[in-house]
Amino acid sequence: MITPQTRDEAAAALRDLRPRRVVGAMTKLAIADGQSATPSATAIDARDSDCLTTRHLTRIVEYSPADMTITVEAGLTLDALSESLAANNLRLPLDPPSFDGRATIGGILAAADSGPLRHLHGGPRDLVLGMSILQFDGTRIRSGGRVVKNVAGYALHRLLVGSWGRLAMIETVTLRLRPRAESLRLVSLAPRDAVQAESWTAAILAGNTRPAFIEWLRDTANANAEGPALELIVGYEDFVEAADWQAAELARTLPARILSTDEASAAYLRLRDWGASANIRAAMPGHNLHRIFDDPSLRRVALQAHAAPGALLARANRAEQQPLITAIRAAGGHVLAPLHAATTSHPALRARLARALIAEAGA
Amino acid sequence: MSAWITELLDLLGPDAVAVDPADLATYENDAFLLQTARPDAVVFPRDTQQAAAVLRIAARHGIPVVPRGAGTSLAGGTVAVSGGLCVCTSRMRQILEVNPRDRWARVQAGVVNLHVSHAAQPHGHHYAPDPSSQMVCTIGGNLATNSGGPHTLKLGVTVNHILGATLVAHDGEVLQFGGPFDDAPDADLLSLVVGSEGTFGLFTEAVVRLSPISPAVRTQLAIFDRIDDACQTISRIIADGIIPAALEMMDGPVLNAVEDWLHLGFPRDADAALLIEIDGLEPGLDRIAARIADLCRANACRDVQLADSPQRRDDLWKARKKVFGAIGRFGLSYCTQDGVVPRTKVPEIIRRIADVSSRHGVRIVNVMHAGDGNIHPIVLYDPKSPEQVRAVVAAGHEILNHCIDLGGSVTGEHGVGIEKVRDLASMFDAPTIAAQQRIREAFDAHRRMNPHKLFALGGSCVELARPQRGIPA
Repeated sequence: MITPQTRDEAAAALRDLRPRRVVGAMTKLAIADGQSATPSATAIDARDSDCLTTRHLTRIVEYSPADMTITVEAGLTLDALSESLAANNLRLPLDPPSFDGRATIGGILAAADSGPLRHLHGGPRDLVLGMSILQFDGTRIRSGGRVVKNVAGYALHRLLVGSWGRLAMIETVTLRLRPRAESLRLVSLAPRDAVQAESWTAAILAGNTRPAFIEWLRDTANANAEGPALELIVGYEDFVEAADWQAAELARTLPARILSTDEASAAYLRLRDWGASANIRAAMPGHNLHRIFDDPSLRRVALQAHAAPGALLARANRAEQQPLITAIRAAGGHVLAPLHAATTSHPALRARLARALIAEAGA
Repeated sequence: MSAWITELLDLLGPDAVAVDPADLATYENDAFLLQTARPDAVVFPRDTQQAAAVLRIAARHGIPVVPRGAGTSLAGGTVAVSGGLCVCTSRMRQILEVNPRDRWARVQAGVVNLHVSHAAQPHGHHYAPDPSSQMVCTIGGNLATNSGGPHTLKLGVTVNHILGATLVAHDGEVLQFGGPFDDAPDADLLSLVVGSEGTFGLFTEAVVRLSPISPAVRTQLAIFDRIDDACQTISRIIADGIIPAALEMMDGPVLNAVEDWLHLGFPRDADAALLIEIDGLEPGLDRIAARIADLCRANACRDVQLADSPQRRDDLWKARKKVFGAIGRFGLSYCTQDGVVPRTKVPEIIRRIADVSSRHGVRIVNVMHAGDGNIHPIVLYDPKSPEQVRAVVAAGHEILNHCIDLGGSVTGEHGVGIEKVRDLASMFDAPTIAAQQRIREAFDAHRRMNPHKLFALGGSCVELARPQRGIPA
């Protein structure tokens, strides 16, 4: 494993040692490969000289709380970033699984990972303002900048979101920050099946409230005689009065229970981190999610959905994976991970872009 | 008549092909007006398939292609610098599908921005990005420039609201990016093509995100004796954890110009005014509005007033959106710049703009999306004076260099077009420009799509020395 300690060392290592892959803390190898999330099944050999890790590149390059922007090295963990921001009452409104605090900013962007808050705040592409990028020959290029509005040149920094480290190395990232919300209220519902969950979700989306997220969770840890039960949890993030009003409004119109502050904190972390054990990730039309949850052959698969934008996470055993992938495609969705099952479009264009960034770099 | 034009006539019929010089004159410039160039033909396809057939013909004959929506580009993005074919989306105006549950609309590229919001309105939704030209500008043009507007502070710019796009490449190949939902596998091509200014191809359709309309809104006007205090107030509001829906600033001369025209009761002797709008749900909004008023007063605000009726709110927004009409009454021509600095550098860029103004002997007034640090200095000049015309061009480049120096950008929402080819080159280093050029060639090896835009072709730069007037974003 190549372990540069500085950005210049990383550039030199790319140029001289020509590693074949760049990784962060390797938290997402399981979902990338579709394996179960046991470290032994997926860990890259630490002696692997073909692999460069950014995990020692953890500096904050520039932080301007009043501008609500920060520039960090790719190996900084999201947890460490959040800690630095909390002093100024700021945060990055992106909440993918933290993998026990190990997930790095570079890795999260390279995997286009996200969590419940994406419904309100958008995904990684919406929060990245700029990058410095190391091409695989060590050449450093820049994209975007550190201002919140910027249309100068092509957005390579957004192109690299979801690229899984295959086009270039994300070296530093400039991110748009937000104030921490005054209040987070969670409301829990227990639909009898996913058809009802969908009918409630549609009603909530068409109603008077503005949820920060609408989550469906069917966790095998929460099973009764008929199998794992489906929970529907709605989050409101707002000014205190508005969050309280919305939670009460939902409880008035649907059979819902407002969670206490302690319950809400625990439930939120569970929703955020559940995806750490998932091995399939998909995007699909929100209104078709219920077809996956209610598919008789998939009744025992543990599932989570960010139900408003239509993102699906699954923890499926080997026998369940292919039927699940088939069902996702039949419902108009596409698989994002594992990578061998992902439906990649425009192979010729992608190959030309890869050549533009990789093979001809420095030419 | 050229063979390629005959082929286009055979394909689309005479009704959808303009070749008469009088007809072509309309298409020789856009809202930039500093540069004109006439295309050899303009075509008006009705859908993706026709557009693809058109581009196949252009490819066979090696003709340059310039995509065009409503022609509101402020950077000359639609000027046919080397002639050729202009493909206009003005007959692609269908809203194809609205899905309120999943909150998206699928539209043709020529659909007017505001018409998407009208179609979504019965469901309580709107299309959030609102450039000031939203009554005429098209979704395709918005995609090409990644347009902004005053209400992007809270909700983001065009790219944050695009879920999918159909692009016809230089050779007529139809490329679909994204879809009706958020994610796509692999590197994010959709986010790359948004903002590509027509150099990757012609947008023919888009899937746009719809957002819920806020049921409650508060609009405040704060008057300041010193522009520095107004700038300081902006930072204080945001540091307090409040993200307004919009936070606009006008300087004293702009306020006077607006008052001369609209008579809204603005003071004559103020140095700056902030237009602050918050929105959301009713509960708590009065407390936040009161907090904003406190923060204004704590930062030496002379007067802060809450719009007490929908009529007053409309008037305040009319004042902001009609700034350029008011400026036009000065009887001079004007040129609007578009630059960005970090929000905390707004006081510094204003000082530097004043310095540029006095050194070049041209009057500059300021209106800006202050919450985003997106400045729109307006340079006033006499178009009959060649010295002033040269000074305007020089002052513009200088202001943009100051934006770069302060850690900002040479364009926040208008795009590079032909206007800022030189400024873009000074913003990035050589390896970055080289990588960007290779990306362009990955889409269009011969750079036949919208040539001369974004980057100079063969080292030559379009020379701009005839500014007339600009129309605002």
